[in-house]
Amino acid sequence: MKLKVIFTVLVVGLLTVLACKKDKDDDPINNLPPYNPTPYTINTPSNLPAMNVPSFNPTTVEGVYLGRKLYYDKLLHPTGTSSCSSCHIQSQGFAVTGTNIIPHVNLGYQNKFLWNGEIQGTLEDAMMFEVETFFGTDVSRLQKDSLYPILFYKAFGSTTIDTKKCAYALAQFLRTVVSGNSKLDRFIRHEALFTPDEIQGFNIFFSEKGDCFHCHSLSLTSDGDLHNIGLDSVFTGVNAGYYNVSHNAADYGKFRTPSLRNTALKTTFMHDARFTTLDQVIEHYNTGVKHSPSLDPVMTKPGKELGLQLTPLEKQKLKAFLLTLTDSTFLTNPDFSNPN
Amino acid sequence: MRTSILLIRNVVLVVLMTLIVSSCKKKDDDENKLNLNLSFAVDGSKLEFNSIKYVNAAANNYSVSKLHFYISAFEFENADGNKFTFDSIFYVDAATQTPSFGLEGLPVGNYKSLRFLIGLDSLHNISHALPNTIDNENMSWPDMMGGGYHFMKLEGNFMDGGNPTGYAMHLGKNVHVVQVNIQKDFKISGGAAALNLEMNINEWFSNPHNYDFNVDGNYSMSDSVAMSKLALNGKDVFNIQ
Repeated sequence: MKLKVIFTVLVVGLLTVLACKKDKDDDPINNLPPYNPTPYTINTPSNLPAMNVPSFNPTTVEGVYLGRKLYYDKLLHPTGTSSCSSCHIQSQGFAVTGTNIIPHVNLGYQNKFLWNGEIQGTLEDAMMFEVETFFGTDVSRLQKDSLYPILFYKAFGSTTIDTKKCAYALAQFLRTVVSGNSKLDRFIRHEALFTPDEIQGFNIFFSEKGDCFHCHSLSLTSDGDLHNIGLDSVFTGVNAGYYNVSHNAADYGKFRTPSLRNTALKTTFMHDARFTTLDQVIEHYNTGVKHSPSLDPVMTKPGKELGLQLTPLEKQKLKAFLLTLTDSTFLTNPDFSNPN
Repeated sequence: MRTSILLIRNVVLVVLMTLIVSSCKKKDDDENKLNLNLSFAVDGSKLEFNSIKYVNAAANNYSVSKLHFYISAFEFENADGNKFTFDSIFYVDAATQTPSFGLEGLPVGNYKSLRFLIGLDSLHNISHALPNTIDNENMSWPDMMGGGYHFMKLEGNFMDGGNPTGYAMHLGKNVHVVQVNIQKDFKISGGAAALNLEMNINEWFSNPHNYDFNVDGNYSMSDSVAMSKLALNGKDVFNIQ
C-alpha cells in the first residue's frame, strides 16, 4: 500500500514536471533564441547620396521588418482607427492623392520634418513625434499581442515594448523606403534616354532659366531646407510656415522643400494644397511670385522680378521633365508593402 | 648563473625602456594634429544670422542668412621657406556651431604664411568628382552652366531703397576660385595645436572692389564680372587670430 502511494506520488509528480516543461517549451516568449539581429544594407542607387544612419539605431533585418509591420498596423493607434499607411498609401507615392499629406519618400536623407520644419533632428526624432504626439500610441496594446513582444525582442533584444522602440523600428523601415529608379535616375545613370522635350525641360530645371535646382537639387530633388517661395506676401495662420516655430520674422512663409518624386500622381500642391495642377505650380513660378522680406534670395534675381517668363512651349517642356520623376518600381516594390 | 640572469634582466629592461622612449617620440612626431577652427565676423563683431545690421564699404545695409563654402588645398610655409601641402577638402556651413577641421602631420615650428582656396582646384571642380553626399549634391553647379560645384553660397537680405531684398552671392567656375594668402608669422606647437581663422564677411565686399548690391548686382551666379570681383575680394577674407 505504502509503495503504491509512493509510486502514485512519483508518477503524478513526474507528469506535473513534464507538463510544466512542455508548457514552457510551447510558449515562444520563454524560449527565445539568442539576440542576434542581422545587419541590413540599405539599397541606395549609385546616383543618390550616401545615407547617414545614426549609430544608436543601426538598421537590421529584424528592425526593418518590425517597422514595416507597425507601419501597416492599426494597433499603433490608441483606438485602432488608423495606421501610418492609412494616410501614406504606397501606390499613391506614400501619400494620399488630393491632400497635402507629405509623401514618405527618401525620408532617410532628411533632418527637417513636416511642412514647416517643426521637427528637426534624426528620423528617430520625427518618428517619436509620430508615435507619442501624433498617434499617442498605447504600447500596452502591442505588449498584449502574441507576436509583437517576440518581434521587438528580435529587433532590440527585449520583449518590453516602449514608444522609443516603436519609433526606432519605424525609422529603420522608412530609411529603406528609397525612391531611386525614376526615368530621371536612369537618365543620370545612363540607363535611359530622355525625349527632346524632357531634355529641354531638364535644362530649364537645372539652369538659371528655371532656377529650380537651387532648392530641388539633383538627385533627391530636395535640399531638405526651408524656403519662402513667394506664395504669399502677408503671413497668417499656417501660411506663416517656419515663423510659427522660430518666431523670427526672417522665417515668414518658409516651408520645407518637398521631394518632387512621383509629383505626377498629385492633384494638390504646396503646404495648403492651394494648387491643383502642375501647370498652376509652374505658373506660380512664372508669374505669381509675391515679394516679401523673407522671400528666398535666389528668387530675387534681376530681370526675373516678375517671374521666370517662360514661353508656353518652355512651360510644356518643364512639365514633360517633371513627369520623368515618377518611380513606378517604388510604387509597387513588394518590400514596402503591407506584410500583415 | 645568477650574474647572467641579472645581465639578461638588465638587457631586457634597457630594451624595454628604449622601446618605450622611442615609441613616445614616434607618437609625438606622427600624431601632431593641427586643428583649424573657423569663426565668422563682420568687422570684429561675431556674425549673427538674419539681422540687417551690417554695413559694407558701398554703404549697403545687409544681413546674412546662409554661408556655405569649400575650403581646400592648404599650403603652409615655414620660416625657412619649406612648404607643406595638404590636399584636404572641407565643406563648411557657417551656421554650424564651431566648424573645425584636423590636418595631420604638420611639423612643429615657426611659419610665415598660409595659403588655401575657398572653393576647389580644377581637378576636383568637375561634376561628381567629390563623394556623393547631401552637402556636395546641394553644392553642385549644373552641367548646363559648366558643371562642378558652387565654391560658395553667401545669401541674405539688403535694404534696397527702404525695402529688404534678397541677395545671393554664388561663386563657381575655375577662374573664380578664391586664392587666400595670409602672410603672418605663427607658431605650430607639438601635440594638438590649433590655428584660429576668422572670416570677415565685409571683406567680400571690399578690397580691391567695393561691391554694391545696387550697382554690381544682387545675384552673381551667371554674372562673371560680379563673380570676378567677389573672387578677388575674397583673397583676404580670412585672418589668423
